[in-house]
Amino acid sequence: MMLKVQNLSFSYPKRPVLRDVNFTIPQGRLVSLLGPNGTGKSTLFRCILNLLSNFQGKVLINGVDTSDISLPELSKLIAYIPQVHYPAFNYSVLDMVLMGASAHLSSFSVPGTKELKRAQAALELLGIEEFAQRNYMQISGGEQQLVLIARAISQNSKLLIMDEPTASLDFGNQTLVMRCIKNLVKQGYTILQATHNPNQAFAYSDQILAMQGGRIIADGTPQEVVNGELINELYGIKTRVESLEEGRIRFCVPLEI
Amino acid sequence: MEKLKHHGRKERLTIAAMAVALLGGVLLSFALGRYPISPKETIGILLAKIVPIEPFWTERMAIVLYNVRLPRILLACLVGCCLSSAGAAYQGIFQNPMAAPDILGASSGAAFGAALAILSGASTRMVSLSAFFFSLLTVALVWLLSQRARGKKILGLVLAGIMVSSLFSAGTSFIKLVADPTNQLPAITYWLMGSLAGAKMSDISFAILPMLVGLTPLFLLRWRINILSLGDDEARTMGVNVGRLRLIVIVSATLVTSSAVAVSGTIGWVGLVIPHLSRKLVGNNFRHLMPATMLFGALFMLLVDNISRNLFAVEIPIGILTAFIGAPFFLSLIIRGDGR
Repeated sequence: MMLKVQNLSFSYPKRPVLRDVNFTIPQGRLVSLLGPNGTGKSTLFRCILNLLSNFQGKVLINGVDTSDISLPELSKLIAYIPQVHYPAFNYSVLDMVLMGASAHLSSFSVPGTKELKRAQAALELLGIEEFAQRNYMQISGGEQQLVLIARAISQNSKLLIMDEPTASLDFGNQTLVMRCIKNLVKQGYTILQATHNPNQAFAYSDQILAMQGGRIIADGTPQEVVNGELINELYGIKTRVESLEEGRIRFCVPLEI
Repeated sequence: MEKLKHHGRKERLTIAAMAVALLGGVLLSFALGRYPISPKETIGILLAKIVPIEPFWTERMAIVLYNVRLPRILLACLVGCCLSSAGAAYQGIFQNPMAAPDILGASSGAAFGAALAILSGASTRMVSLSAFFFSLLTVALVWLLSQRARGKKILGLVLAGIMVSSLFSAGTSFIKLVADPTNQLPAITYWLMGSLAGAKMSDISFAILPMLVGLTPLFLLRWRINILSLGDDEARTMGVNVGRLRLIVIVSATLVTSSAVAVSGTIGWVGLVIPHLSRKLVGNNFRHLMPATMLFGALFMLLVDNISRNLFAVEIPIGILTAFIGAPFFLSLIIRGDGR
């Protein structure tokens, strides 16, 4: 068992967001969290990452309650990969990836050979080592997302939380990023990603969590839980789930245009 | 890996070159002035303090060097170093390359404190002390107010900074209104322009301690400022205690700004322009940017101060010169783009 969320509830002062969320993610799985905008996916992530601490319930990583460990210790277990964004300063790709070492360094130290090696390994794992000296803002959106993932890898945590890693990427880059993510799972990483694309959930995920109104309404393999009904319940549109290549590829298409 | 071994080498060489340039600039500056002292004599006089050397210079040279030029050169370097590094630090924590050392009201607080002291007829030393005290007080007030603000911490800080600054600026205006127009008002106006004229060793001994207390953490924490510049959530998930780190950086940057402003008056533009120029030379990584900014700021201020005290018969306050140089420079940056 890697990540376990138990009876998690969270409310903003006047608005309940998460209601009694329960799920378990075993090690080495790619899990997709589906759900409409504003249903609490980001809030759930913020609770898991301990960015929000005043929630009810428990978040356990390898059986350890996250509220019992310090932020630097937690960041060695779990890394967060935000959506591609534009930092205020245009750092080089290598500098960006090196920042993942912050939890492993004391406040007054700067990255050394050990951190450089780890950053290099992370860049190689994602196949972007040739970008090391380029500037983050001069590479494509897909490559930027891979840099952010490489930074999480150099953070040395095995559990990765990704907030819509393929949002705002073009068709080719979406596939590039998802392939890299799938490859990480093969290497033993555990990944929980939020996504708005049910087809991605089919194509890559081992497990689907569907969230509606702050509750988990479905939890299982894509084949078990993703069907027209679920999509309709989540997004309010009629869809049909179809198969190609003798069921090897499954996809859903909206029936109302 | 071969390539990575040389990671940062170019930046380190640039920083070393800056240090050499600063050293050369300091030695040359001793020679500049109405009373000529050659670099050879300068080195002789300075070394004579440590090792016994037969004087080949006049007694008067030593007096001018120690009592007039040395404090002025030291102060120019220190003030330049402080304002630039504070600017760079604020730009990092506010994730905004337009942030300047007075973003949290350090300058307007200092101006108010100085004006108040001049109004009550205090000595020069008391004017500095009052400026220093009010500068710290202003930033503390801004910090406390921002802690009570809801929503984004950084936005709260910036807004509180703007509000409290304008409050103190209004206070300064009021003091100018009621000040004696024959001597107090010109003194206040002159102070507000910013100047290093009449720098004394006592100014250095007054400011050096808070300056060093602030500069040391800014230098030591320089790499971490990178992570703060990514935003609170990201920094926290990378294991950085954002609230504590930001407070340390703000306290340090405020200490150096306040002590610089207290002894030199308000000198604008340096804290904004120097970090930008340094970025062009060593890149955005604060690991190299911070030392480069510190050295470059010192060198720039020394250069401008040399112009200020040598170019014209009447000395031009350095605050005016930095704006004359800073504003056109910034315009050229906007027009040409900064190459990103």
